[in-house]
Amino acid sequence: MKFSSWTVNPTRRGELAIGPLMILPAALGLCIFQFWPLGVAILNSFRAFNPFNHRPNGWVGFGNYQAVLADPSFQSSFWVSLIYMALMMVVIIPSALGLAILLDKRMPGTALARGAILGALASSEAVAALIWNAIYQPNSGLLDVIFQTFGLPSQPFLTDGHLAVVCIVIMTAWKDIGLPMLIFLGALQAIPPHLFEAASMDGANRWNKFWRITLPLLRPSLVLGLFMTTIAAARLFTPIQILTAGGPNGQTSNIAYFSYAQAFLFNSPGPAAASVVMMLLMLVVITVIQARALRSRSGI
Amino acid sequence: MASVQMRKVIKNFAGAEVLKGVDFDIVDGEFLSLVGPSGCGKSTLLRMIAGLEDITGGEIHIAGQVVNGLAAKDRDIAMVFQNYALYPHMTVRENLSFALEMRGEFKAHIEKQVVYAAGILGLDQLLNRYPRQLSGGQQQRVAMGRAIVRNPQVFLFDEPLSNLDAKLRVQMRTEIKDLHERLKTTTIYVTHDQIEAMTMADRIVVMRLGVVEQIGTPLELYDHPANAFVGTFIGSPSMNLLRGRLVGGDKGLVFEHGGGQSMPLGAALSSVAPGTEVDLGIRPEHLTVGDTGFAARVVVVEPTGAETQVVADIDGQRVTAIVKDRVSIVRGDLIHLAPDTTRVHCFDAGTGQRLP
Repeated sequence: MKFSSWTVNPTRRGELAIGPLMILPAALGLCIFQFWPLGVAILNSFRAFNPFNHRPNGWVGFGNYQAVLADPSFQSSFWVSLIYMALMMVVIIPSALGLAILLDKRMPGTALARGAILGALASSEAVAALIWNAIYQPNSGLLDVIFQTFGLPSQPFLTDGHLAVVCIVIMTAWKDIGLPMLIFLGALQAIPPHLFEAASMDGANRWNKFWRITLPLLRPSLVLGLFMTTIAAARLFTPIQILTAGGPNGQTSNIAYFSYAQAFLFNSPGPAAASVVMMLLMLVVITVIQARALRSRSGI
Repeated sequence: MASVQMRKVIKNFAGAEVLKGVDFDIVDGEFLSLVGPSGCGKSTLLRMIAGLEDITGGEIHIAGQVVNGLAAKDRDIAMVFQNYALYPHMTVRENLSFALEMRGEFKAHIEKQVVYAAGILGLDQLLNRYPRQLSGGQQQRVAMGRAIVRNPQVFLFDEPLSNLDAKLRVQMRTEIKDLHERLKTTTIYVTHDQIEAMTMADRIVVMRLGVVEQIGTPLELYDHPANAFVGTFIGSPSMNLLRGRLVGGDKGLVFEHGGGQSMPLGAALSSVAPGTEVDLGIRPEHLTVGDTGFAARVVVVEPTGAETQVVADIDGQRVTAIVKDRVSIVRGDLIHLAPDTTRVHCFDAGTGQRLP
């Protein structure tokens, strides 16, 4: 029996009423907490605000954007954001893949390692940042103590701008590696074992199997992991706030932190909103480039 | 091409012995089928030949060389897997060339081999497609092509047709047989479908519970099964087994069925001692519906067009008879089934072994 596109299949009539109801809570949540603030941010980015009561008092066109783009701290934050993204991709994706491959081998201690990695993922970002803050402390921190044990000089982990960026990335990688690792592990376990057997028969060694079979078949999960890491890096805020507060001299401040500082420290909602919209645009551009670069011909 | 020998091959999985000293030879260029019910160890044995499973005991020789310690890639063997195991992210061309690339062959040679294999299997138009864009039969052909391009010493097939529909299975059966006739590469073919084994193989190895029950040509197995298991496993519909006793009579032995009916066997089975408890094996096509023989009540009549299968009940025991002519038998009819006594088989009721 064939139903034309506008005829409702009688067995599915009930779904028509229940379906929208079922998605209503999620749709409402999305509208209230995502789309509404985004809409307000976009509107605010074109407005001027009364500095005393923070109420909008007129339209300034692209004035906020011009002001933000001309601001050297925004320019610095833009480049720092890109550096965070690049570093986090370079650190998290290969490490998560390596860990997933190790866990997939089901060696002794695998369950413990998996628990530890997921424990870090489940921990609060603020708590993790505080723990690492203690680790990075000069003289009394764990890392410095280890350095001293080996007779190495004390390091300015959070007081040197370049080193602080690396320290923030390491802390975030430690905390966030679990999710991409889980995605990669799931994808690894979904590769049919007979493909590797066929590759063995075809004369492939371990490296060939990884490079020619595993990696291409992990492509969808790698792309997903890459997107997630890119977005997480762009939104990076709590570790910066707790470990360095954007310092020293704004060298660890990314656009997210710049927006926060504009909105809550400098009482400039217009430029804050403009910088948020620019961060969003930057994220869209980067993920589109990634999606195009990683597009697959095989449909996998 | 190469010969393959099994020498007391044993396989244990976590203490359970799944192959219990398998011993047989495959001659150069032969098409040998390993057949048996699920769990008989046939696929395990094939995977051991391939190098995908360790050998617990015994030796496997390929082309005179013991390969127990040799990695799969060094055995010069190609395998066609049950689910084809095509690389889903590679085109047909890439799937076919992968093994040759791994061997470090020159591009020109790879292309030549790919075109050769594609030509043999009719894949010429499909070389740039991905596996998901192919039908089951086409995927099956690519899997075979992947084996052919390597020109290996031995082909292994692990139930390659079980994922295909009935019509395609018959077609591919013919293609594989034809391929073997053309290439004459030593082939070991695992299947649980005895029809596949019968129609394709030069010789068949029947296995059960990790043991070889019988080795022989299809017709040897059909005409002279070594035991009741082989007798009932080979042939479709299965051989009928009637449990009873052989007693002496004026004109030779008489088979006394457990249900009370008896059947003079004439000169047949004269070397079997009277009094022996036996299973009398009668192939369905060797039972004739007529006025004499075992009285039986018809249970089901299954016309297939070319013949009719009649399932009947002889004193509580179901038997199947094949009738070539059109019959007007219906359920509940009382008929008489006379076996061709010159073609009956006799198995010891206790051991199942053939008598005499």
